[in-house]
Amino acid sequence: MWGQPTLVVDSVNDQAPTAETNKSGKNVAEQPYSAPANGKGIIRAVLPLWPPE
Amino acid sequence: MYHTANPAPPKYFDEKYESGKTLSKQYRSLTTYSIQLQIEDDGKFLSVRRFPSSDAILDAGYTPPFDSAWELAKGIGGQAFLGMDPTIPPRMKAEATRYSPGEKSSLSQIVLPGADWQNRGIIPLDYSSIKVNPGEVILGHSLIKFRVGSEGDYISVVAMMAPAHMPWVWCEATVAYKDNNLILYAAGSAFPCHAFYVAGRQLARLDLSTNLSTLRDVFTRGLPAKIK
Repeated sequence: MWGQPTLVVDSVNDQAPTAETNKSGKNVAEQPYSAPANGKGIIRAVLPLWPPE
Repeated sequence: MYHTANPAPPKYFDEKYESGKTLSKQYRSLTTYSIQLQIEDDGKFLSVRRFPSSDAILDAGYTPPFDSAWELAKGIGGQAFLGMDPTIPPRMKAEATRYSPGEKSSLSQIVLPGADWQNRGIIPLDYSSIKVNPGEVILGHSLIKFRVGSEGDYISVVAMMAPAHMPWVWCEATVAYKDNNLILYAAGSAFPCHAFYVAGRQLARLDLSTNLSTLRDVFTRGLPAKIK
């Protein structure tokens, strides 16, 4: 069969981010994503399926 | 990380995933899936499907036990001295002597073809940071956002007085196809090492630094500030 819809596989055992309060009673902020690794950006690697003729 | 460092990722990863056993729990997160590809003799893309009966895995990994009993003694001793939350010393001991499961964000997802053959690729998640080259067929996309588990986060915030929750780390990969080539795109946030495998072979690594001395500095004193 052709053209079946793609499947989004959801994560299992999902947990919402925790929200703790520190000793001073102040809400503790979530940190944003950390920065990309050393500015190396996106890797693009090629794997030939068989050696070229 | 400094006192819970993992061994370097292996060159080959071709074992069948088994929760709690794979890589002896020596990883901070892991995603894996299997797809099947049909191409014509000249390398033209024909169709793709999710490999029958295969599982797509999004695993938030583990924080290993401390490699030094002295670090644990310092932490527990410090807490006893400060007379803070009495639950902290036993929590620290538990955290320092076991493989502690990590936490995974609900943004973590894998997008794959359906179970039947389809003659087009998949559409990646909207929040992907990866753009593939024109003409490449996207076969699969995975993104995991993870961090240390709730116990480690509690200790960090309550005992160590961290001003923020433990940071999230993300790792993303897309596999595409064109002209007889599988093409891996990979990206990730600052972290000691991300490793990417295609057909069981490590095809790429993204290292914060390959200099162990630099890594030790980063994970004991933090990243150096950039002063202009």
